[in-house]
Amino acid sequence: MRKIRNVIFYISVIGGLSALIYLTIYKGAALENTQLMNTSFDANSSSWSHFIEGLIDNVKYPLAILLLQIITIILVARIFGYFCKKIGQPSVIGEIVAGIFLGPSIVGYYFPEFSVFLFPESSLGNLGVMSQIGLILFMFVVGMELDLKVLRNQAHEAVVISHASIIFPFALGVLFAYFIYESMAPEGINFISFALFIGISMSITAFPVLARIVQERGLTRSRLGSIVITCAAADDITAWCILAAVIAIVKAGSFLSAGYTILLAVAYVFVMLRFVRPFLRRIGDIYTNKEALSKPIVGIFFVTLLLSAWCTEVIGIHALFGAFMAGVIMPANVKFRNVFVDKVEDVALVLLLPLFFVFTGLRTQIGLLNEPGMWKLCIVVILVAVTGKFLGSALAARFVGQNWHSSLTIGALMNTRGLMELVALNIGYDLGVLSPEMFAMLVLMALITTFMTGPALDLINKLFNKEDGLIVELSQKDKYNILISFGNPLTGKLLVRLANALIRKSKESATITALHLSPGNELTQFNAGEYERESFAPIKEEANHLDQPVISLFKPSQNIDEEIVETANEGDFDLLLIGIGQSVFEGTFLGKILGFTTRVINPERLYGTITGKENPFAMGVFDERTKQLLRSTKIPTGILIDKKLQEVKQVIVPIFSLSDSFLLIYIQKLIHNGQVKVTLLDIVGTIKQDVEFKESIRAVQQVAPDHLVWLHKDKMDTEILTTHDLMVISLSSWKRALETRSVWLSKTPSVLIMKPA
Amino acid sequence: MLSTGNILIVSVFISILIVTLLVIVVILFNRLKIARQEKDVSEKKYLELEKENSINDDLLKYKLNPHLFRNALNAIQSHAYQSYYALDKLSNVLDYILYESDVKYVALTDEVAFAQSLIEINRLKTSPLFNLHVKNKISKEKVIYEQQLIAPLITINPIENAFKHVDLQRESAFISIVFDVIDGWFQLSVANSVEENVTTTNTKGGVGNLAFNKRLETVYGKNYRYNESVGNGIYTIRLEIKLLEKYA
Repeated sequence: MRKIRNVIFYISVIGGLSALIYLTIYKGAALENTQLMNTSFDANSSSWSHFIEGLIDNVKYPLAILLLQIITIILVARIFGYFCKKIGQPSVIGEIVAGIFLGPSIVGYYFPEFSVFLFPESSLGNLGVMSQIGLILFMFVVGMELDLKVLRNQAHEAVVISHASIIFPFALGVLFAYFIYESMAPEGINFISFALFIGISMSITAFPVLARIVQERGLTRSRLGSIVITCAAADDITAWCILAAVIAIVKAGSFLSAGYTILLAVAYVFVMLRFVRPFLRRIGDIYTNKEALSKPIVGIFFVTLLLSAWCTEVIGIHALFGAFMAGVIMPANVKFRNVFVDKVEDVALVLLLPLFFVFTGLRTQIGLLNEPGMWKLCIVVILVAVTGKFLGSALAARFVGQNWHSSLTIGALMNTRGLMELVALNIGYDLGVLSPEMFAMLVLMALITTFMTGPALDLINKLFNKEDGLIVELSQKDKYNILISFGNPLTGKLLVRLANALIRKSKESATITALHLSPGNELTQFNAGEYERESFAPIKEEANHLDQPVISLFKPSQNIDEEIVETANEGDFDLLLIGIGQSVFEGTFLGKILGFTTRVINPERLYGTITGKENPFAMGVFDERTKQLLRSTKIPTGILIDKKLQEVKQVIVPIFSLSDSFLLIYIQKLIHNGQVKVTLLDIVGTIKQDVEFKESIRAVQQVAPDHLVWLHKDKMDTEILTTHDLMVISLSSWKRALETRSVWLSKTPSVLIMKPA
Repeated sequence: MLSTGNILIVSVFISILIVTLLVIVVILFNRLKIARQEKDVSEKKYLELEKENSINDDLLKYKLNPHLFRNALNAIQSHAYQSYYALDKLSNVLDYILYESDVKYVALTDEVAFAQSLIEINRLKTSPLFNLHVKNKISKEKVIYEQQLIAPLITINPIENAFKHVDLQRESAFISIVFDVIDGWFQLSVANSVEENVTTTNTKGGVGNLAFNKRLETVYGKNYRYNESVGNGIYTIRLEIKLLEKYA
């Protein structure tokens, strides 16, 4: 009934009013002057062709063109980036090449119509602005990922290396400028601007690209890696400061008049560091978690970024400098930067940065290098750049006391110029300091120096590995390697202690590797480092305390358990140790049996056990995760159930069946390496009945009588249990004990459950 | 007829007598006390002496502690078992040498088993706590493992070498032996700790080594790599042999 009423209402209102509108238009058309009639509506052209014309007009509309450009650019950049990844180069190179490819050098040369259609002269302004915004965001991220703390850690060496690696190529560049000023400098540019610009463009290192290469080659954790990163960071800051000064000088035309600009810039930096930074830090401290990072707060930070960029632009040292600075002074809180980098990075790197490359590519006219002389000059440019940077950093590193291998590696890495160089070049081109030919040469130089980093590193490694062969070293395969996988750093600490008791005296022939996986892979370079430091701190401390080298492995991972299993099975590991926190057992029946009665039983779980959903004994020995791990590891595995383990001095090993005899390996290791006193509980005379087992124990007793006590018991002795630090038990015996709900389980000290391979 | 004088005299006498008696009694009492004390002391002494004597008696009875005997027995039994065990392994080795070595090529699995017996025999020289670390990383599923591809007794030399050169006295001494197959190459890598100051000079020599290298050369020609190196307290031997179908 009601529905019908609604329908009637709808039809009458819509229909009625539509009729009214039509009538009004019809009547209104009669009011028009006849002169106005039908200029656009050509009676001869059909309505179809009219529609097509409209469509073409729409396509040429600025926004449509811009969107089409962005789509093309992103696709091409991704494709090129993918190919670069395939040949083991950083994808940045692919994106730069994509830019040059789309520019007048290739597409513009062979398909001029297409180029004119896609990148008409009028659209370049929009593209330029977009790419600038992308750059500002990108520099903001770079600033945020630059960890100033790193600089404090090993500043001296790194600063020496980095400054040497700037001044060396800078000097070479200035010298080079002297020879080519007459032939290559644009009209009306004084020598000083030209020389300084060539100098700075020779001495830039791309921190982001370098950081990525270091990460991809797994050097991040090594001392060398951290030195290189620190150098690059120092280099970055120094180079940007010099660039700012150079810009000021170029704009002002002389040293003196640039002085005011530089003074202003210094004042700006001072204000940023002294006033803005504390203010931001306070805000960051209040809102440390993602939930609380409300829109107004984000707004404050973006405004800070834009203001900072605007200030520097007005001062006359380019907006990028301000964006970079804003990134640097962001609150150092990891979580906070993490959230923020997440917000900005994707848009900046995927959407806007390729625009910048293409924008650069559109200006790069390799076609200008059309005569042999030009190419010769281009080669000279590349040689000067490589010589300056590579040799400069390598010699400085050697001087500071690195060996040749490390020095050359540092040199090769510092030679990466990547996109930072392009940023500087574009600024120079905008200022008119660089002629198009010079610009093209320098872009090529940036490309080639970035491209050569990987091969150069491989070559250096090859050369030195032959020499390193003189130093006899055991390969990982020849050693006894323990892998520790931990989530909670405190558990990790205990596992290190335990592993150390197994290999203390065989340091030359055994290793400990600590693996920590963080969920997800959204950690950026900077945050990953910080997070890693936090998680490994207790382990490092314990390792130092025990004087036990520990290799740390850290990666973000989507599937933590699979990754652990893969690491254990694929790597050359002989034992995997994992820990189970008390929390897994707390509030469960199992927990009660094991003596974790510190908390009330979780009613939900209790309900589950009553209704049979969660049977704590039918294989409910571990939680799902641990079970899965145990099923899939192919190497011996130990699980530590921690009950306030302090030190590993007294260990009790109950033997329930003959299959437990594999525990002997670990008993021997504990006695030999950890000086542990082991008590063997021979339940129901298992050992006695087996000759081989008995004799192996007797043999150990012959050499270490006071370290191995062999007791015969008919059943578990709870009193003995409490006097030991740790119980080592085989997985099968453990399961059986749980299934039979043995009373002694609640009296055990910490337990290490061992599964043979 | 007593006179009063007599009475006096008598009374005096009696009184004197009484006094004398009293004195005597007192003296006697004292004597008794002293005697009693002396008796106590001597009894105590006697008891103490008695105790000491009894201990000495026990000590005299004790001739040999059975525990000592038990320990000795343990040690001997242990050695006897070890010897038996080693003999058992040795018989395996002899069997292998007798029946397998006339063939030109044997299966990898047999050669590795032989090497493991060899290691067990050598192990007798070391303590049961010694850091010996044998890894067989060849996956058993591989067909290559069962094929007759390797010259017999090729693994003797590196293993014997390791046990010959290892410095057992050092706490951190070790021997590590790894069998592996990678891309069709059988790899045996043996490493052991040596004294720090051992130089490379005396390793390449030795008749055994020359003969061994000759044999490798004749059997495998270019399809083998052999590498020995000594330095910073470690002595390593790496032997790699390309397993080709044509050997089979």
